[in-house]
Amino acid sequence: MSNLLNISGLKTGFRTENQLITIVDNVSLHLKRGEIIGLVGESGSGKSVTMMSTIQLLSGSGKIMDGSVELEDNGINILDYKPNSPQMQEIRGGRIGMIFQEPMTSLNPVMTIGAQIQETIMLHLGLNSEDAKKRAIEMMKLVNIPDAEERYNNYAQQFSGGMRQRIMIAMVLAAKPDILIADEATTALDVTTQGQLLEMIRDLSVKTGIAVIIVTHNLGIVARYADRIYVMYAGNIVEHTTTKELFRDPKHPYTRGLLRAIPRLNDQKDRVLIPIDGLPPTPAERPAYCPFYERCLYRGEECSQRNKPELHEVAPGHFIACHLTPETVDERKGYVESLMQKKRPEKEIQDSNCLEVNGLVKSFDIHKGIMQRKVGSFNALEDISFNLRKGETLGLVGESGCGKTTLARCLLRMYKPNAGEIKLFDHDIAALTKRELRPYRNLISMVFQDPFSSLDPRQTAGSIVGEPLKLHKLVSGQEEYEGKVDHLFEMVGLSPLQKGRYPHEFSGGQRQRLGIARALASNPEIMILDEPISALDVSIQAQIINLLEELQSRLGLSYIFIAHDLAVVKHISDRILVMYLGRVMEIADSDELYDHPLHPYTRALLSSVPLVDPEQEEGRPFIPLKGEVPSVLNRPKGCPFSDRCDHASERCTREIPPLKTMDNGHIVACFLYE
Amino acid sequence: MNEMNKEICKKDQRREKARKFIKTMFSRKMVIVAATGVVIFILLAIFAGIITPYNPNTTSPYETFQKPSATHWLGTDDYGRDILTRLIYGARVSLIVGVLAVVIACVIGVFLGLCAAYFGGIVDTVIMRLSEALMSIPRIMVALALIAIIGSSISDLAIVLAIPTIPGYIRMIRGQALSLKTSDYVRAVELQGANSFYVMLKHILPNAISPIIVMMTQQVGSTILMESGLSYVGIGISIPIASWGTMVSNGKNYLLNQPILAIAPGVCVALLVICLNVLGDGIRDALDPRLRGEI
Amino acid sequence: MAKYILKRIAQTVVVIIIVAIATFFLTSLIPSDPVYVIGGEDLTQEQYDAIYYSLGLDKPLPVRFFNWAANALKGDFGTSYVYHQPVWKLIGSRVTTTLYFSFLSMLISIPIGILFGMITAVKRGKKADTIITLLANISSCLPQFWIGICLLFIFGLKMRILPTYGFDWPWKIGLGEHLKLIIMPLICLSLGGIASFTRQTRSSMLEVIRQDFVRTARSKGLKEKKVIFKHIMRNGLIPVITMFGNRLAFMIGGSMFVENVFAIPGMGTLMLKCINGSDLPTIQALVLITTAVSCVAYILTDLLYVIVDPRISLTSDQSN
Repeated sequence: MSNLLNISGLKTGFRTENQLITIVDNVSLHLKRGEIIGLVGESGSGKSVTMMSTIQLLSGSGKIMDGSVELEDNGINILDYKPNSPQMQEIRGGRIGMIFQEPMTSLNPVMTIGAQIQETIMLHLGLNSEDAKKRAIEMMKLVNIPDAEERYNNYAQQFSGGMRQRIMIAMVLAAKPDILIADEATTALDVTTQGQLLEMIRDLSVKTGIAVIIVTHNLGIVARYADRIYVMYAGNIVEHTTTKELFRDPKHPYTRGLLRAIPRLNDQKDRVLIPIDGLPPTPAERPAYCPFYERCLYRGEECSQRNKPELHEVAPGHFIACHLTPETVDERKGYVESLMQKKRPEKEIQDSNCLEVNGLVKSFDIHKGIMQRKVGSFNALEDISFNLRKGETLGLVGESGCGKTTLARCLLRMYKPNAGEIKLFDHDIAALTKRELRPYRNLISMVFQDPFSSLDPRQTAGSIVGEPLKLHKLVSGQEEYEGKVDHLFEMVGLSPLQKGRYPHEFSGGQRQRLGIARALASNPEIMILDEPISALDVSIQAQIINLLEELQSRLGLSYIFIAHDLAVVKHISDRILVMYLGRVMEIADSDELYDHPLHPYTRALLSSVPLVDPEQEEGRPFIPLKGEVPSVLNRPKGCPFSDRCDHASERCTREIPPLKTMDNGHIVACFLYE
Repeated sequence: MNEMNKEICKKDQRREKARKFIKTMFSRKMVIVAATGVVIFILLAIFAGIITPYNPNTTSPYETFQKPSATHWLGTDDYGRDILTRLIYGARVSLIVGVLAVVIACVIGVFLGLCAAYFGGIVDTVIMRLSEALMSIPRIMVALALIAIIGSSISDLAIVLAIPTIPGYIRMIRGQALSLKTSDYVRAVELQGANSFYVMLKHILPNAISPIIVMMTQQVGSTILMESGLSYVGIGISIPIASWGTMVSNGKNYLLNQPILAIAPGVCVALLVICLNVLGDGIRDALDPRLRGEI
Repeated sequence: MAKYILKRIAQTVVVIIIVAIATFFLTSLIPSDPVYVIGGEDLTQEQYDAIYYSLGLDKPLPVRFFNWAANALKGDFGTSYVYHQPVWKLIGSRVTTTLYFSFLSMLISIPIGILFGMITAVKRGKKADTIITLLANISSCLPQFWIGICLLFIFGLKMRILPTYGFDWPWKIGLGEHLKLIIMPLICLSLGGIASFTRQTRSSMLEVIRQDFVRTARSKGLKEKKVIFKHIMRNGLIPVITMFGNRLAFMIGGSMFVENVFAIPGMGTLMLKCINGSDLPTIQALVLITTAVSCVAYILTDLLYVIVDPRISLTSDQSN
């Protein structure tokens, strides 16, 4: 069968002030009709630029330097067409459609979504505006947008992120393209929405025969949905084979490293993550030899003396770009495995609680009009109860808008709860005034999600980390202060010599280390970690996870770990709390929760997370969730999950199920387990 | 020893930062030219008495309307005063009024803006409503009404021209403060129990400073334009003092026999304002970390 | 939507009330005795008292304010101290003249400015961009009155093809004469407007060009022309619209200089005379009227904004 798309030797650069920097170097890939392939890589690996080059959609400074792109092996290199030529415009959208990462900004805010879909149809199918409108509504129905006719005249900002991405898909598919490129299309979405969308794309691919390229950094997604995978690193494709083969027998050291670094949902309790040390080289600093050399665990001297390795076949249908022979890799296997033998740091969970929350309620007022009159209120948190033992890690999971962050802010007393108690070592801090809170402030600290916005850009790293020391008057005198700051830097694996630098001079991972050092400065007992690794690249995430575990065992800290990545939460947490629309649904030990989820919501949530293992993935049921993530503003009257639950009875819509503790300590709020 | 090293390290970094700032700022030739222009105007204004041999206000009835010559490079006006000398002294008036007005507006505006953001509630409402009211009166009307009340000496004029621009500073600093207030790093400090006053001064003001500097540099030019306009219509700087606006107004009567008298001061205003604006753009670009290649 | 408009109108009323209070009390601080302004310097005590009581100056300031405000609501701003006739009669024709010039120059500068702005944004970095941007930057630095004098010198005095002063309506002097009279003042007034619309359009278009949805539009295979006119332009012009009100206010104020150069009997020239003559009632009326006019302009701008940008009415409808 001939290839639908054939990219060969693609080389793309970006012009800076005085030079042309190569971003994508000699990339070749092919795609067959009806196939789904994955293009995986970390940020800056050039995966998006590869796709943008394919349809000549590069921004002003980008330039395609070499290579060819052919459709259906017809011998015509579409890169020969000018970016604005009619032929290229016909291919863009008409033959190859693309959806992007940011659902919030990718649609025109001042045009109705209907008009935007209609525009595409009229352009590529040549229908008149009446027929185009009909087809647009059909397409909206195809991607499951409720009330398509009425919502045709709505604007993008009236839809949720998941819905907007559906609209994008409808718009792209409306022109009947042969190829759909999904460039990190589900990254910004909740895991359940992500599951819905990818399942839909797969169904559509089977139904319509459209070929799909999934561009992502998430290995789980490609493991579940792709037939073949291309792994990119520093502008090159370093490995290419079928999905099953790649996960069964990864051959390139980078791929192997990645798979050792990411936590999985089906991990054993004692699994150690082996991070890939260092950072990928920036495009301007890429060496002439293998770009992975500096971070490679298998590297040999010869690697730095030879040219960049070319992609070659090492097993049938399995290509890698690496100079190492299987023999040398085997030789070093022992050394790498010795790393794997390392134990996870021991930790001690005590029986006493350091935090106990009972019946916590937080409501917000709704204001309206000129005078900002209060017209109503809604409960962002309802009846939250849980405990945190000393030395324990409690994972907090739930979709966006479920109240995770509100809960964290209540615990930190950035918000004052309306009811309930927050017992910090038996002192209820829920109702204390600002002044009364002072002595408790240092006991509980926070690490933020975004390592860029959470550090004051105009303060040096040293003064950012040392500020809590001064505010809590934990040091007397300059010398002690400097000493403590140095110590904090060393604790999080940074050199005290970097104290005088400003945040922008650090990499993302280092900045998150600074955030952790700042949180440690006040000698806290509890640390609230709000998505601390979700902004970091996969290979860096493991470094931070390991650091957090090490600190916990050394200092006896208790963590509340908020994340949307369930695999990470499961890896790091001892117990997990599942939230839905501001209520606790289930609390259980992490293994117990994964092996025997009780609440229907938890089950659906777990099934949406891909496993990074195509063989286990096969035959694993996907429990689709009905509908969109609702808002706390219109929470169902009874069980908040009742309107999306397959097991919901009439009683569920009337009464709120209370939290019930099972024999093994598993807590669940559902009438199924009465 | 270690301490000393650290000190040196710190100094180096500060120097490095300044160097980077200057490097980006002057990376464009236009900015260098503009900066030189501004410096020349400032030097002329300061050393006016030394540079020119003439007194700007001494009249010589026998030397009226002389054409440009070696003794009077740009000729003389209706009272026989040297035009070039008066232009140089005029730079003094324009620069003093421009800079003074901007400083006054900035100080008051930043103070009120921070108050609005810091106290919130009724203080915020009052400050913001008042500044809205002030903004909805055309700037020139405010200036005219105030001149009628306050007067039109150089310092009066600076105050008069400063007042209509205050709301701009208030809005900007308040907006900055409110958005920075919800940023993660301010949250982080607040979680450590820092009071809002400390947060305002230590974390919010330093981060809001660069847009203020940019706004100030842009305001100097427009203030100078406004001053020359007011002087031109005869309610700004009063007649005997040499200012560019009054010179144009005076020269308008002698356009046919001594056109340079009206044309030259206008060229001066335009040149100074252009230089200031280009310099302001340069500073803006240099302060923008995106353009400095830091992010 | 209707709620939003009502809200804006209510805000405006508050603003105008504040301005009225401020104007009245501040102008009463003007350091000259209105009695002498009206009656001249040589007054007997009886004459002085007569004028003093007729102006109601014996009453406390707040009472005077309410009297003044009540009359102002009816359109009666008192009698001019200098011209000795009712203020509304005095300013009526002059306000019309000034507004006529302001609106005409808006009509000229908006389309030209936007056109230039679009050209420069689309041809970014090319010759057309460099030249237009440079000209716009320079002309926004030129003093209006000086441009007027240069024009007057060249076309009025040297070439003698245009009259150098005065203004009258076309139905009195004929359209040709009228055009000859207004062409130079209009150029003066519009140049700055064109420059600032050009700059604003350029920067906001460039801002939009970088947005994700423009990439989406291109990825659909739309022709570049359609991308520019359908997707970039509408988004890019929204911030330009917000400038309309501001600019009109600026032009009403700035017309003073141009009126002075070309001896046009407008609001600006009147204001100047009144300030020199300490004519309180007229000053108060003029400040209030210009404020009201600019407030109306701001509201109209906002309305236009709501129409063009669906985001506004959406957010104001949804609770907030």
